[in-house]
Amino acid sequence: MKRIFWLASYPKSGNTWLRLFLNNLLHDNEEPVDINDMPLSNTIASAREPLDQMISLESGELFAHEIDQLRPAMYEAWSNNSTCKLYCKCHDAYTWNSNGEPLLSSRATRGALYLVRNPLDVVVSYAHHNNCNIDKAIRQMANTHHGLANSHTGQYKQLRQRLLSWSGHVHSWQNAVRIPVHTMRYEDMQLDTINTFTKATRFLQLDNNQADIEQALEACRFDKLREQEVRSKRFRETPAGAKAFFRKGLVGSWRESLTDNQVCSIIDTHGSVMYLLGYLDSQGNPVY
Amino acid sequence: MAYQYRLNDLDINSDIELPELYCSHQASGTNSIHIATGKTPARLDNAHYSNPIYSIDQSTILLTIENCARYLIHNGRKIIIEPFRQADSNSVRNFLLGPALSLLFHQRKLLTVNASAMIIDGMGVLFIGNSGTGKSTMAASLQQQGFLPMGDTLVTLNTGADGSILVHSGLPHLKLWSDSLNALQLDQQQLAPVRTELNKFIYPLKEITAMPVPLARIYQLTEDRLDLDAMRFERANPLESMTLFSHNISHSGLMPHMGLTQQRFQYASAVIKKTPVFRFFRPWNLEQLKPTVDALLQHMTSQPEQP
Repeated sequence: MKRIFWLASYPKSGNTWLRLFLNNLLHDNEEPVDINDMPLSNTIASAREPLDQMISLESGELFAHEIDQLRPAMYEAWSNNSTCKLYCKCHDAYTWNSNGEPLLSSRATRGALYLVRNPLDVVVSYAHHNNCNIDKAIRQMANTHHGLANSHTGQYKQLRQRLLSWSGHVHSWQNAVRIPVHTMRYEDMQLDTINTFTKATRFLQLDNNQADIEQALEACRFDKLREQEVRSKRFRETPAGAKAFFRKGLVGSWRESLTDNQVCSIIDTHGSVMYLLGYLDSQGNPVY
Repeated sequence: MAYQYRLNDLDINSDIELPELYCSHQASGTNSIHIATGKTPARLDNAHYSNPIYSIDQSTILLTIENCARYLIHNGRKIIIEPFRQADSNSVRNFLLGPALSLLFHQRKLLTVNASAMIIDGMGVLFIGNSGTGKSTMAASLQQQGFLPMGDTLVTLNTGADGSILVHSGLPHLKLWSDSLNALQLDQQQLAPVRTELNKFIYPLKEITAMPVPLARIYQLTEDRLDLDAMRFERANPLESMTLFSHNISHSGLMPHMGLTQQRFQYASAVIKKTPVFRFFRPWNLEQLKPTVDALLQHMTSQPEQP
């Protein structure tokens, strides 16, 4: 049975905002959901513990490519053992393992909501997230072998995730023709909020009305999320070393942070995909 | 038989050399374990449970590690290994001396735990926790403080004649990632990797006790996701203790498919009835090992508060 909806994105592209929206939409209380106690959609595709439970082995003693061979079966077990639809976060690019199976098994996947954000904004946010400088973040986003939890000298809490380059990530999900994919731009989430989230809700086969959607959006307004983060001192998904998770969240804030050379470098690398997604106009100039 | 070893009061006759085990020069008993190489089936015809790694029938478990080997584990007595082409011998032994033997122990109704174990003031202490939470690193740190480790693989428990829970040493080594070895200032040059090309190494223990010791405490190693610098202890209540401990029984998730559901409950309830379980929230950061060990040693000398 196909029960998993992947909430997929390159990091820092609005995934947390989407999940908080869904949590607020699907829970019954009047109060906004606690950012550190999300009752729904808390599972990430790269979680190590569920795999360890399924295989009854130390997955740290398997190589990443061996783990990739097991991941489709894990998602099939999640799907088969659930009685309701699952909304699972995912940062992996859409890739295949060495058995020729999609990592995110088609037999388990009901659909994927793919979030994408202007790489000029992503790079600034990604540098803050990883506590590194912007030039390093630019190199990472251009690296076709870039991944998360990719250490060879220790063990991460999460499984290795292949991100590919930023453009490669987008391409991979646009080419995932075996499963329904709905692409949603972060800029539309910000600038055409109700319409964009309503379409997402319909894609996820949720039948909430407009009032529910507006209420859920109000509960996860950026200023409210940041206020919760300050009040609770820490958002549990903040990586070690990063100062805060909810930082600015604005469209076009790259203009205050990137040098001309950095902008040129990003456009040189990702220009063709940026144009397709409407991030560059026909003259090659940034739209946002 | 080519090689004879002894582990947990069990004699092991092996067709392949297992340098990780202690040799035995005694004649093996009738109750010994036989490890052989040979052909194994790709699947068990009468399996009542299968997943990509395990296939289980009434008396046999087939463990398949892709790119490495198949292990046919039969009736608590015999393991037949069929290495795959180009498998490295370290990998083949690693999965034999971990999961395959642990499953065989289950067939013998022996309780194996995913834990590192130490002797502190003559009593056994277990460190449990998810994979990668630093159980072996904790044991190695405590060894540097002069305490005796009991291993981190195939540590077993049983009930003594007086009803106490006894800890039996596992394999005489700790498995440590190179990050941990570096943090502990241990030289990895002479160490064998757990698997060829994996930066996790077998750190041999020069001294390990053959005598079981009474279990005094269990610590679950964890961290507070809302305060990564937090260092505190919380005693788990009986229900939480049951859950924490049960999850750390080796192959806990497979036990129902081996007809051992009742056994799992009995094992866990016997242990937690006698043993306080603590959650140890601490920064999982190798730079913080020293204060972590100091806090732990201080806690161990305190009387356990009630949950």
